[in-house]
Amino acid sequence: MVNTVKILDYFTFYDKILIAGIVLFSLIIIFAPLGFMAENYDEDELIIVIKSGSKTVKRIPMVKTYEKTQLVEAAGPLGISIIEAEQGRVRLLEAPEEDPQKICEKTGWISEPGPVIICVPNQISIWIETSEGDLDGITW
Amino acid sequence: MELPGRWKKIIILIFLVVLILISSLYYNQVSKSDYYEVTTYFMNTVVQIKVEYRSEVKAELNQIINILKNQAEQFDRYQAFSLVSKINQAEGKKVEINKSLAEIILTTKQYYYLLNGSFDITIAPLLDLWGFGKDSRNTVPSQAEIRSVLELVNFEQVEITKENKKYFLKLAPGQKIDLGGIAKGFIVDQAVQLLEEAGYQHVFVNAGGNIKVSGKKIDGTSWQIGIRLPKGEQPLTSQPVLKLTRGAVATSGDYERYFEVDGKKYSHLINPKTGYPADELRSVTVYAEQALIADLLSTALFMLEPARAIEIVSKIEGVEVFIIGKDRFWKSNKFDYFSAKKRE
Repeated sequence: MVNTVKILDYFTFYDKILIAGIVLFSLIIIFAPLGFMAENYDEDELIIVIKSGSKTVKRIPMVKTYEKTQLVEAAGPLGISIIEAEQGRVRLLEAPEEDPQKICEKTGWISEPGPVIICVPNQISIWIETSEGDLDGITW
Repeated sequence: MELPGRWKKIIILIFLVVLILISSLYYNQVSKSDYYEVTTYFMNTVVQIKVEYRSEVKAELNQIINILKNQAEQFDRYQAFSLVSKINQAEGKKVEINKSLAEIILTTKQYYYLLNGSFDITIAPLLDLWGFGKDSRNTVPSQAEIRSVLELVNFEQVEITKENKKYFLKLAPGQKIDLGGIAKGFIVDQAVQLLEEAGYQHVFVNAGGNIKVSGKKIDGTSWQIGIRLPKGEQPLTSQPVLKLTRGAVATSGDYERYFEVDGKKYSHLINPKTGYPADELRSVTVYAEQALIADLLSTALFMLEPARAIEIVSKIEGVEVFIIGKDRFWKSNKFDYFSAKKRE
């Protein structure tokens, strides 16, 4: 104890601030990523993911769909698909004319993580996920 | 000998610098996005593959995806020149099949007997009758129509033989097979196997909700797979989440494909024994080592009484089930072992 006190005597006030800062910074670096892994399933953290092939066309925070209707154009091999998101839900509004069946238009609205709107011919997929670091996938 | 105070100060500062360096390395290890992910479309669904990044990953995954797409095409009865089309058009003649299909048929036949016929790949004529085939219109068939088609739904009439190291399959005249209930599972198994053989250690494959993982995530934690809860007036349970480092999970639900006539819902999950859609349950989720088995059982157990389904599962090693009914849910004994937590 005496030695500790003696050691501390050698540090100036600014040394102590610096040491505390380094320790704090190290702790943040260690624990911050683990914090991202914490589970929380909150409506405010839902994100609409729109993909064309492997490319993410847009990620829309669900909260934004309550502010105003979001219309997104996603280009695929057959043409442009139009996606509509409003009031906490999303659907494929319009598939390209060249899409023979337009199955994804018939899927209708989705509003929660799980179901996926899939347009195989035009390679567009739309789903809802929770915030980053949450689930890796949903079986449905 | 005691060190002078100044040296102690320097040693402590060096220690702190080392600490910060270690922290930085840890940060890179844990939080850097070290995955490579591909989303592709085949088997009428979206397929996601996620593995650890390495320089050749793009080329390797493209190659694997091409193999998988070719295999999947062979199992598609709507592809004019697929192996399954050839079998379905053979009208009672035997057709040579590849080893993969032979393995699928043999495994499926074992389960056909175990499940007392609640999963049957000769269901194709029934699916067509209800309009669940490709490009067809959903209709509610008459009892007479169902009875006449049910005669063709009988796996016991399917003959698989091996002659000179070659496999042959023979259906009864009029019979047709549909591998929709297992093809995704098989392809997911193939994907994981090919990725493992290529040396990947952190593998996640998702084909339309049929998910299989191999190895932990890069950060050393388990993959977390949520089970979709069917929409209902009142949630029966909080969302179960499976925590996996290996194995597969698949779900069959009445919300996947269905049509409505006069307010009654008819799902695509048709009981091969009765000829009518099963409508007692909302969803069945199965965990198994193989995605093929998870896929098959999730469909088959949907046809059964929950107590019977759980009894069957208890006899199969490494298989667990979570069943959601209209007003309650059931789970097998060890299901909670995989369950990470409950979420509201």
